[in-house]
Amino acid sequence: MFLQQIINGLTIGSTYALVTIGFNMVYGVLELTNFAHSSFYMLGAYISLFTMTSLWGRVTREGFFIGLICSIIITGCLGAAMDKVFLEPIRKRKGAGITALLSTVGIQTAINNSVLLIFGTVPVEFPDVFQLGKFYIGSNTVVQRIQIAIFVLAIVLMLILSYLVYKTKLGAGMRAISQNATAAQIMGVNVNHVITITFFIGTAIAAISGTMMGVYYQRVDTLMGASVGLKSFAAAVLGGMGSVPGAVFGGFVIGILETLFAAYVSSGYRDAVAFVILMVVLIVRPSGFFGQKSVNKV
Amino acid sequence: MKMLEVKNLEVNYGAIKAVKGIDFHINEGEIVTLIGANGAGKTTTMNTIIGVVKAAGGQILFQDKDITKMNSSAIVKSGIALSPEGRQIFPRMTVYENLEMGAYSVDKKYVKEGVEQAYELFPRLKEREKQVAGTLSGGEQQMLAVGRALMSKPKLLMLDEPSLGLAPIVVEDIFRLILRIRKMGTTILLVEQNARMALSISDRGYVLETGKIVLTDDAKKLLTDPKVIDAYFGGLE
Repeated sequence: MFLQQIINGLTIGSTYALVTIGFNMVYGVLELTNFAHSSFYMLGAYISLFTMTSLWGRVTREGFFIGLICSIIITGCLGAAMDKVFLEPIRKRKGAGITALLSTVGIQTAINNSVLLIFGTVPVEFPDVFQLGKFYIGSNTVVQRIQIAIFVLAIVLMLILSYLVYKTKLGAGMRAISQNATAAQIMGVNVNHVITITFFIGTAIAAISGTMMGVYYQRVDTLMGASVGLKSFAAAVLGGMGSVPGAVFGGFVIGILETLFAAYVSSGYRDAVAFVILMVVLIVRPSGFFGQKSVNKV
Repeated sequence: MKMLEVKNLEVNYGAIKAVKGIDFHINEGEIVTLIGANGAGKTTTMNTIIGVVKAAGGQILFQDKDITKMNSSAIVKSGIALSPEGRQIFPRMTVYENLEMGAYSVDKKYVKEGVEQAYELFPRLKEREKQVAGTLSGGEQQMLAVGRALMSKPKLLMLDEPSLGLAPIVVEDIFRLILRIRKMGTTILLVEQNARMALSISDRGYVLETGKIVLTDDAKKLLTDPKVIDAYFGGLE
């Protein structure tokens, strides 16, 4: 029973982790809370589904991967375009951080409602192209192989992105921009270029996450991003805003605690767990577990 | 040979005209100083040369190439570096990582020798290599800003107020270093509030007043110019 809860918790936690990674990457560079991030997660799932079913004709594994690739490219481009069209002008005139934040809230609503208009309110079935099946640990603990796939995906994406952010030149540019954008520019970092790439990668990963969740639950709906988005916010705060490994840590912790709470205390209040954690962390440890404390010297 | 030539440069911040058509040049190997009161347009001029601020009119030529409309990453790549006013270090990066950022525009293989050179110029930085830069003292941050600007092996180094807020003894060190950096073959554009000290190590100087150049001469002559003495040295001693 307990092991089963941990496995389920890790799977849900992987969902949160996958959403939070991209969110934290954008936050790490711009210190911008991108409320539209979870909408790209939902949109990415729809684009994958749409391309694999309608363009490829029949649903096959190859079709799935082509759909996924289309979704990564289209969603990534939309994310980058969102920055170019709506956020870059705000940066250019050195607008307040809250302006950009509110702009992302607007974009979130615009995306959600566009998807509603185009695809309708009824949840759409996502065909199970993999049919991976399940196996048992002991007599009563079930593990679906797709759960393992999602868990592994979260870890792999974390490793790739950590490498990108902490070991590459692009990553050095990202970190420099997050600490002092003007100085980064003076060092020769092409600031707008780096930010565009960051948005592309962040939203492209949201598309991968959304698609995987479609595969896992075998359905997509227009609200799939809503609660995950808010919980990934809690995961980001817990792990440390802007930290890639922190995103995964926060996602797992919240996923597991939430599942355990639902199993042993009350399933009706499971959604409250993430937000109680959010509030407590903000008081006790505002920089989270992997976040950097800000150093301000006058 | 002219390393940098600024022709009729104009810069605006919205409706405010910060720089109103200035002309000046820097020859290869020179140290040239811009002096002037707060708000004269010195920092703006430097920020415009590096491309952080865009010119509203006029031209900036670097080694006879027009860089006025280029973006700053291309300008830095072509061989100009700025040690900005107020240090502008990366506070959560270590001293070493800050230096590494300085070499962003050049090949990775230069990092090692650049860092060695910075440590040789500023032994204090070596002691603090692994320390987070935000926790350095003001003087150390200034050293870091200068050391970082040198990492890209610039042909033209611009130093904006390198002595600001430093103890007098450290200020002398900084000026000695500027001379050493020139000896290594770097051309220098200097902006300083400490006008007397700056002119004493410079070849030529330009005096800016509210966005215009009002006086230019050899640094030695400016040092003894009564108008300069009056306005910028706090009168005769």
